[in-house]
Amino acid sequence: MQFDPEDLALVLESLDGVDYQHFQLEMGDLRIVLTRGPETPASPAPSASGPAPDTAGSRPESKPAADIQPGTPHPTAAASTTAERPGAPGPDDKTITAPILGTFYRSPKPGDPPYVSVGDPVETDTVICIVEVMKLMTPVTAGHRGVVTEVLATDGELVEFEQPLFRIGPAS
Amino acid sequence: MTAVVFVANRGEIALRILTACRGLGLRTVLGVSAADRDSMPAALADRTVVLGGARADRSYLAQDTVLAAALGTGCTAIHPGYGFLSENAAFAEACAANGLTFIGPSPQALRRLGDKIEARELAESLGVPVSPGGTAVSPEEVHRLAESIGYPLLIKAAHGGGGKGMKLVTGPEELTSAWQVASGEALAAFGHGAVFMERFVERARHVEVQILGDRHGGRLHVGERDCTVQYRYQKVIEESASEGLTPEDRRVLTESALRIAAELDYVGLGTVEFLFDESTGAISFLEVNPRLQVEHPVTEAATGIDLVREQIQACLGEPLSFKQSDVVFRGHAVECRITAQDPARGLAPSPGTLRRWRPPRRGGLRLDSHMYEGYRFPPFYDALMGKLVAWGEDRARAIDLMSDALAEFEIEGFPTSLGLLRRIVADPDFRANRIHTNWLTERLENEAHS
Repeated sequence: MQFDPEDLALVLESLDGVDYQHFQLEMGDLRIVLTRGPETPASPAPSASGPAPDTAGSRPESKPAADIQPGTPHPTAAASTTAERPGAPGPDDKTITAPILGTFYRSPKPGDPPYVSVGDPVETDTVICIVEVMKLMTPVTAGHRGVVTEVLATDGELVEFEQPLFRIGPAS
Repeated sequence: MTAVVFVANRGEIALRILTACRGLGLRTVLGVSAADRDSMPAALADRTVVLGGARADRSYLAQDTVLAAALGTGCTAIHPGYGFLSENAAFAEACAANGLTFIGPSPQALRRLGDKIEARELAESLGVPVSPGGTAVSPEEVHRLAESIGYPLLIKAAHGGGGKGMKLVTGPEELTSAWQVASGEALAAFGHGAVFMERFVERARHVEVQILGDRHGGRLHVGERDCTVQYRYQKVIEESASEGLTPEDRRVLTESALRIAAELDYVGLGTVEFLFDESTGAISFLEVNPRLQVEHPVTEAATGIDLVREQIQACLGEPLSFKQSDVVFRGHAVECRITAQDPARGLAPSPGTLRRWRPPRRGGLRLDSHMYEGYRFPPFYDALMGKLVAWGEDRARAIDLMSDALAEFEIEGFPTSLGLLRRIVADPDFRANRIHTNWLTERLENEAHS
């Protein structure tokens, strides 16, 4: 059978969020090996001495100052609950990231208390926030058992795909 | 209020659009997939947001995600580039419903042009030459229509385009099954099973007219491009102008294109594609691409007009900055598409890590590319690495410059079309302009079989 780039993308995305160190897939002549862990110096470092062609050849280095204003606040957003950052992350903390791009909400509706706050215990299936895309609400679960140690995103603001939202420490 | 432009695309065209916006003093936000976080356009945009996973349906094609990203970052307009959402009427409508300016023609125009059967009928109703063809329902009607067109003929998907899903039928015995297969494939690929047939022109040139319109009734053409060098209906080399055309041919082409533009109240950039039958000299309408085109730089090189700048301004409500009489063609421009495709394997995609990328450095060249050494060319999207454009006082000199430029170009890391392009520009048939749309395909398939 044919294994095309789309299939590879599907495999890689299915593995996203799965805890593995070594993954091997063999189908006929095809062999895919994925390993996770410390960076291995396998690929040569990209040459930084390439010539700069007329329009576009070398990576632009500096980014112009981004002063794009965030969009108008969501009309239903309550007084914005800002990120809570009590301390440095512990070594066993897990970072929960946004599964999709959208607007981050910490509570079910404006005025309600947040799903979780720093210090709250969570189970794997505890809903910790919602991400809204054009009126479609997607609940996000903790995915780990533990205690919320940090809230990394601001209520009512746009979060990107895979942007860190919460840190969860080990259950005490 | 100054517009803030959301760029819903990737690769070289995202760079091109970002550069044009910067030239206009407009701020930009780029939406990328997780695979394009470290891309060159991501470094150039004022702000970059990650839309979703690598697969296009989770990022560049995810309409609601693109809208949410544009609205959430304070953008007022969306530039869709080419491909992805650029020809999607429903998306253009959703932009308007959310107060975003879609940088392209109206949803109505997109809808009429997206259905190739309707586009053919539109062209025909305006007196634009159309090849014999049409559609039918019952097998008897299909056969009767085919007889009236004559064999060989092509079956095409009404909602396809760009040569995707076409079937060549050489005789009546193949017709019924080809019609059914084409319809099934069209349904699977485009969500619509409608197909139609058209006379197959064996020895044709592909000639297209660039049109541009504003929101004040201003409409003009920016000349023609010749995209006859194709491999299985995918363009490989484009030129401006099309050297074989007579002034009368050119008049028919441009007047036809402008009639279509007027009927649709066309805003922004569009390309009206035609086939020019080498044996009879007949011109026939093919389709309209209602968006910025990959090969727009050859027109820019031959006219000095910044098409993307004009497109953005026109869609934002500015009148066109020049008149038809200001469009002056000078010299000849040739564009080669450098792609991550392996000529030794039927131009199959060949992504990998780009170890060496040393473009030629000479006057008269332009390179639109998002490549850099060390770039990991992702396998998820189209194979375009860059477009090299050479300009000369005439066709021969433009090709000479292109030939030297391709010889100097160093690319290593994975197979590319570079070697094939070098061969084409050195080929006596290409240099003498004795080519047709099946020329390259036939040549490569003959080589593969021998």
